[in-house]
Amino acid sequence: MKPLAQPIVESKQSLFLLAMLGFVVLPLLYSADILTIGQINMIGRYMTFAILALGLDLLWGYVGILSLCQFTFFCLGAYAMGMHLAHHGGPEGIIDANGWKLPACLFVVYPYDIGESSGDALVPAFWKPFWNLPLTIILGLLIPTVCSFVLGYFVFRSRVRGVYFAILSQAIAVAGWLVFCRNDVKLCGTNGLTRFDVIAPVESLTTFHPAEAKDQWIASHNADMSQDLNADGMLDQLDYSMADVGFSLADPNVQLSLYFITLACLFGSFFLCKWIVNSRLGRVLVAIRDDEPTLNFFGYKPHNYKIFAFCIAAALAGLAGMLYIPQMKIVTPANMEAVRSVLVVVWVAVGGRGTLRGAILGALTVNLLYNYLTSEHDYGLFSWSPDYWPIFLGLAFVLVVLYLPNGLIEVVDRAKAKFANGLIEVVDWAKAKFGAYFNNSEKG
Amino acid sequence: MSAEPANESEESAPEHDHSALSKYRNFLPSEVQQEIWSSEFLLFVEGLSVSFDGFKAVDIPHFGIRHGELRVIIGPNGAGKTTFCDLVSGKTAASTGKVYYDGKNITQMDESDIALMGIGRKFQTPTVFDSLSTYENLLLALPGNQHWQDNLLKRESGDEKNKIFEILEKVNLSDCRDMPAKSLSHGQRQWLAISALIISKPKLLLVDEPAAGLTDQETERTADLLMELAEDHTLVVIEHDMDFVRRLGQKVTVLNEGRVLAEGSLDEMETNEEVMEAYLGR
Repeated sequence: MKPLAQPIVESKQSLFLLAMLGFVVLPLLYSADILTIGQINMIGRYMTFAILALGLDLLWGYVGILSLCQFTFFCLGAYAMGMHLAHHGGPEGIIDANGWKLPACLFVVYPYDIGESSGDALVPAFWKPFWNLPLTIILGLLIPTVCSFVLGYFVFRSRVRGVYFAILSQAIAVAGWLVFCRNDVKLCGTNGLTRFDVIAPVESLTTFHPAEAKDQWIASHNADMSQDLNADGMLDQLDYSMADVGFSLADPNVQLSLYFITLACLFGSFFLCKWIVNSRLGRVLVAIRDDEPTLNFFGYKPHNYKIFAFCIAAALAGLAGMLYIPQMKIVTPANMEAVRSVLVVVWVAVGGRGTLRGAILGALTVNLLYNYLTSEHDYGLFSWSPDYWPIFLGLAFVLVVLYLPNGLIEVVDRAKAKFANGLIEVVDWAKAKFGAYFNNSEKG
Repeated sequence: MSAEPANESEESAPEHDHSALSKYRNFLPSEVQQEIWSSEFLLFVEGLSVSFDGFKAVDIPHFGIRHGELRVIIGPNGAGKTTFCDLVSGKTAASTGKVYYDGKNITQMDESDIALMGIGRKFQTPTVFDSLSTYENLLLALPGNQHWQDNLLKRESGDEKNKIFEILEKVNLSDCRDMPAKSLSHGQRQWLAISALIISKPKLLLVDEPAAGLTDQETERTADLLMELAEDHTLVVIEHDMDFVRRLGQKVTVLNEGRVLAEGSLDEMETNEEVMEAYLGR
C-alpha cells in the first residue's frame, strides 16, 4: 500500500470542497426542495457509519488489527443515547414506585418476576445515569472505551494476534448480540429501544433525577404549592418529563441540526485520526503492522500501542452510535449482529485501507449504493430487484480486491491528478497562446 | 571438573569447556558480591540452558563478556549461537540458569525491558519496518521515546534529526532517506538495521550474522563499521564468514552443540583439533 509510506498529505482544497459540499451544498439542495429531509437524515446516518469506519481504518489499516466487533461498540454508544432518549420519550409508559418514568419500550417487555404485576415494574438502576444528557454523552464514550480497554488489556498483553484476534472479536460480537437480545437484562430485548420524542430538554441538561426536574419546574413556574397542581393535568405531564419540551425529533430543523452535528463530528474524528497517524505514534502503529516482534527489541511495548488504538476506535464507534440513534429513532440488537461488524471491514476495504479518507469514501459509497439498490428499479429491459443486493456487494468487493487493492480512493486520487494535470496543461497552452498578447498589453 | 589452573594448556585438558572457562570461577555472581563481577563483566551467564522437546540447544556453565570487549562467537550450524542471543535478549525463556547484565539478573525480564536496559539486537535477517521510510525507521530506534504518551505529543528535536542524518551519511543511505525501507537492497537493509541498532545507543550489542548475503565490498565496510563501534561499545558478533572474523581480529568463542568448546584467537582455534573436528566432522 503506497500511501502509507509517506505521511498522508491531504490537499487542503479537496477537504475544503468536501466541507462546502456537506455544510452548504446539501443543505441548499434541501432548502430548494430537491432533497427531502428524509434523504438528509439518511446521509447523516451514513456519516455516522463513516465515523465508525474511520475507527476501524485506524485499527486495521494502520495497526493491522482486524477487529470484527466494531458494531458492538457502536451499539454500546447507541444504547446509552437510546436510554437517554427513552427517559425523555413519548407520553406512554408508567410512573414507577420511585417516581421514575418507565419508558414505553421497556414497559411492554418488562421481565416481571413471578408474582409481580405491572405496578411492580421499576426503572433499573443502570438506566438512571442516562437521565442527564452531558453524563450520557460522557458514558456513551466511556463505556465502549472501557470495554475495549479491558478486552485489549487481556488479549493484546497475552499476544493474541492476527486471525486469532479476528475470530475472538467476532465471538465477542456474537456474545454481545446474545446478551442484548435477552429480555431480562432490561434493555428491551429484541424489540430494542424506541418511542423517542425529544432530544436535549432543559431538564436533561441540568438535573440528574425526575424529582429534581419537578422541583425545578415548580420553582421556575412559581407554582403555588397550596393549590392542586394537578387540577389541569399539568403535573402528570410533568411526570412524563414534559416539563420543558426540548427539540422534537420529528421536527425537520432538528434533524437538519443533527445532520450538521454529525458532519462536524465526522470532520473532528477525521482530524483526530489524522493527527494520530501523522504523529510519531502513528509510525509506531505502522511498525506494529509491519513487524511487531522486532519492535520489542527497540524497547517498545506494542500491546500498549494496540490498546490505545483499540480504545480510540471504540470511542469513535461509541460516538457514531450516539449520533446514529436520534437520527434512526430506534436501536435494536439487530445492529449488533456479527455480520454487521464484518460489513464495516467491507466498507473500509472498498474505500481503501490505511488512508482514512478511503474509509469515509467506502462507508458512504457502499451505504448509498445499498440505499439505492435495495429498492426496485425498472430499467425497461431489465428490472432490478432488491434481492440482487448481496450478489452485487459480493461482486463489488471481489472486484475491488482484485483490481483496486488500494480501494476506490485510488480512482479518486488518479482522477484528481489527471484533473490537476489537465488544468496545468490548459494554463500552459493559454500562456503560450496569449502570453505574448498579455505581455504586450502590460507594456502598453 | 578439572582442578588444574586454567592457563596450563587448553588443548591437553580432558574436559575442555571447563578448563577454558575456569577463569570465570572467581566471578560467579551467585558466589561473590555483585560489585566484584559486575566491575569485570558486563554480561554474565551462569548455568544457562534451554531445551526444546528434550533437545538441549544451549548448555553453558559460565560465560562472560567483559566491559568494552568485542567478542566473536562462531560455531557450526545448530551450535546454539542464535539461541544464545535469544536467551540474553529475552526472546526465549531459559530452562535453567541465570543471565546477569550490568549487575542485575535479567533472566525473567521481557524483551522490551531488556532492550530498555541497553541490550541492542540485530537479527540474522535484517529486520526493518517495510512501510516506513529509512528516516522513520531510525526515528523509531531513537532512545527515550518508547512510551506511547511521549510518542503522541513529542516531535523529534533538531538534535535527534541531526543524529539521524549523521548516521545515514555514514552508511551511505542519505539518498534513500525518504524511500520506504522495502525498496532498499539487501545490503542497504543490513546497514539500516545496524544503523538502527547504533542509534538506539545500547551498552551491549548482539549482532547476529552482519555479513550474511553481503558483497565483499559491503562486508568490508560492515567490518569497519563494527570496529568503529567497538571503540565505545561492548559487542557480541555472531558470524559464519571466516574472512570476516579474521578481519575483526578479536577473541573468538567457539560454540558446538550448545556448549562452549574453546576460547581464544582465531589462529589458536584453527589449530585446535576439537574445533576442527566440530567444524569438519570426523
